[in-house]
Amino acid sequence: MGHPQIAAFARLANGGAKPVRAIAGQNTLFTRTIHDMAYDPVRDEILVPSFYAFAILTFRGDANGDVSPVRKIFGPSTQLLNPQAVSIDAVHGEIFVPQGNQVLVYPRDSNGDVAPVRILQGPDTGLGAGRVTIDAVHDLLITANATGGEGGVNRSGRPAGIRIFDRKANGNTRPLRVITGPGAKDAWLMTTNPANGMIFAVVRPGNTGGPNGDDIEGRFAPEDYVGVWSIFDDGDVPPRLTIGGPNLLLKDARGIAVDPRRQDVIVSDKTLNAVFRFHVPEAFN
Amino acid sequence: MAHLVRAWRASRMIRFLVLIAVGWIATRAVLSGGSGAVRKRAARQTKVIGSDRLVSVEPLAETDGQMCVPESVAASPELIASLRQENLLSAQRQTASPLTALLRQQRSGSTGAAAASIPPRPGNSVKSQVAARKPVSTIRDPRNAFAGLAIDPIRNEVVIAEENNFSLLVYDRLENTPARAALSEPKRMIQGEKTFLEYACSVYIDPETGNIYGINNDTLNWMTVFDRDARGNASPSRKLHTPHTTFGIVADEDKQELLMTIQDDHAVVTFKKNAKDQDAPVRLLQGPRTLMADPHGIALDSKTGLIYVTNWGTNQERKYDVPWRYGKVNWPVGRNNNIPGSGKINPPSITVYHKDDKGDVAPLRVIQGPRTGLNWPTSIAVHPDRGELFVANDTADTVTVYRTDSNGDAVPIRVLKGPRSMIKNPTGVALDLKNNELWVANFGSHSATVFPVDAAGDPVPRRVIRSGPVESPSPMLSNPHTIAYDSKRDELLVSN
Repeated sequence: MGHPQIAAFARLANGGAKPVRAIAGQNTLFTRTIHDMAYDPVRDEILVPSFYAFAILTFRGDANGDVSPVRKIFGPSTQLLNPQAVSIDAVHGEIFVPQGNQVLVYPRDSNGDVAPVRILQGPDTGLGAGRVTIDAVHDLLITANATGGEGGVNRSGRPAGIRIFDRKANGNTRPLRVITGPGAKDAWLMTTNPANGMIFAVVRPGNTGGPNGDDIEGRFAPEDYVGVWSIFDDGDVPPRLTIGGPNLLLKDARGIAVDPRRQDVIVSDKTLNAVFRFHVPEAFN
Repeated sequence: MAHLVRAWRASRMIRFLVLIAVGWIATRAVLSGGSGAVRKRAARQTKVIGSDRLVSVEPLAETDGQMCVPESVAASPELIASLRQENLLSAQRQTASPLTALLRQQRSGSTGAAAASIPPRPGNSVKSQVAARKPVSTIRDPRNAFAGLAIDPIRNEVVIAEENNFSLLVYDRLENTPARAALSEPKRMIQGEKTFLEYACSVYIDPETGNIYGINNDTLNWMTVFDRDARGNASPSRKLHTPHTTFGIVADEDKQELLMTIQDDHAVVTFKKNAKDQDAPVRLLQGPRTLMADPHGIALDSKTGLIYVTNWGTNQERKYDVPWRYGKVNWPVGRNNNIPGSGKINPPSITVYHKDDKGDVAPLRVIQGPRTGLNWPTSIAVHPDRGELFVANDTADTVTVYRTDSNGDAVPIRVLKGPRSMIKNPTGVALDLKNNELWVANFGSHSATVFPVDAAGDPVPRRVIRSGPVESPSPMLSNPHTIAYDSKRDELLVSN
């Protein structure tokens, strides 16, 4: 993958549309594939994890071209380690970075070599935290950890499933609820719609590349989908709705976003190299 | 007296006037007494006279902030968010107030009530309809996106590594897409599930056999080798397990070895050229002294035996005294040994080593600094006879040329850049040493452009191979991983 970037497309973009702008270049400090990002609607900023530099980069919302971040959380005190994911609580002004068996929390204005203000970690948490999303209305911190393997654990041996914590959870805290089952154990990137308390997660069941990501069999099967759960779901429950599949379209779903105003769900697919927009009012009512 | 009473009863006008007077007196009494009560008790005050409610007074809530607050319930949360932080929370909480109450019930232990109020699950009919629903829009570039290339001057072909459709494309070396044509069709196309190709970024052609070696940078950790005539959904004739994030490849034909850069591990690994399956590397160049940082391109000067590696600049510290990964000798130490908080940010560079260097060896020279013009240096080629290095700078839209003996903050001896050159997000460069031509793969313009090897400035390409119309937009999507909705601009953010 030769060219990392963050490209901005018009809402109605379709086909081989040209982005209206793109952030890319030496000054951005981007590295390889950008596995997650977050948009802060309060500050109008974009947050991006830097996988190699162990940094959380913050850009202006209208950033374009080879621009430097306006802030970066970076240095030995940060405890950042190959950060792949990031989430923003735009209401309470906090940045959440899931990192294996822990979630690091920083104030939004952090810049430079700052320590996290909270760390959620410990045996009672049950983490696995591959991804995290925040529901600021219901004060919830939600983690996901896809298996990519067997036995309810992921490749790193960490438990799979969607875990719902109090937003301010700190230290060795038990989750309020844990959603398990065939869909939740394969949930990966997530977002929420706090207005109706729904969690939207890409679900990548089946063969996701084998132990080392090198298997080909089943790689192109349209097994993936977007699963929708309620923040009140608990235990072994299937998703309330599935979007884009299974066995319909999505082959290797990656990113997920929602447009509550239009009641749309947007999902990207790596194998199809495409971004799809679905109109799903049923998921927003 | 009786007369007066009768007169009063008889006069409707007098009765009306008296009623007005009584009403006025009563109103004054209520207002004068009520205002103090409002201040003191801040409660609803009502006086009733007879059966009619004449006056009702309700005090305004005390305020110490702005009087005109945004309409919080009906307006979109995104709009409110752009206005004030606390208003966002207020609006979202009002919108979600039934759910908030439910959550409080659950936390307080009244789970029975909560369970009864949990949003009902949709029926099977609704679920089926939603699952089968097709997207209303799809952003996808149907055209081939050229990432890397290699020239076969013996057979007069060029092979292009293509990322958008996971393919290797073979064109005639002299192919030149006519200006009015939409695109040139490749002579052969290797693509499909059996090929083990995903995000092929670099390619090498065996000069003796014409076999094609493809490097997958992401999601599939294989180098695939295809017979020269392979086409379609062909299985590789052999494949080699390579470290995750292998990017560049160069061959040492004298020693029959393949050298590859590894982004994640900031390393160069060397395999025997005929290695396959789970064979281990024969050499490893890795460690902090190497100064490698997110290495991409690699080139070998066959005259001097030096290798040149382009680095984007970020890396980190890791523990190196660990067992060989997968039990394979010379397999690079992986990122699982990284040290928290040890990330480094350096300027881009070209580091120079001898091709036989191994272990944690310092570079012989480092080309690095603001005058170099390096900007995401993604691919590199060397012209041994001319003593020149050619570097593709992705986000500078340039090819910069240096002397092979350059060192430090070296100014390029030539720069190719400009609209006539069609160089746009170049991610691949290759040299045809037989025909003295420079090839550039332009990821940002669906094209490969060919120049004389000594071209400079903004030259018109000698030939162009296009995979789409000249003006066709290029979204440059490649492994679109994460997305976000920019509610302020009503835009969709998509990251590669």
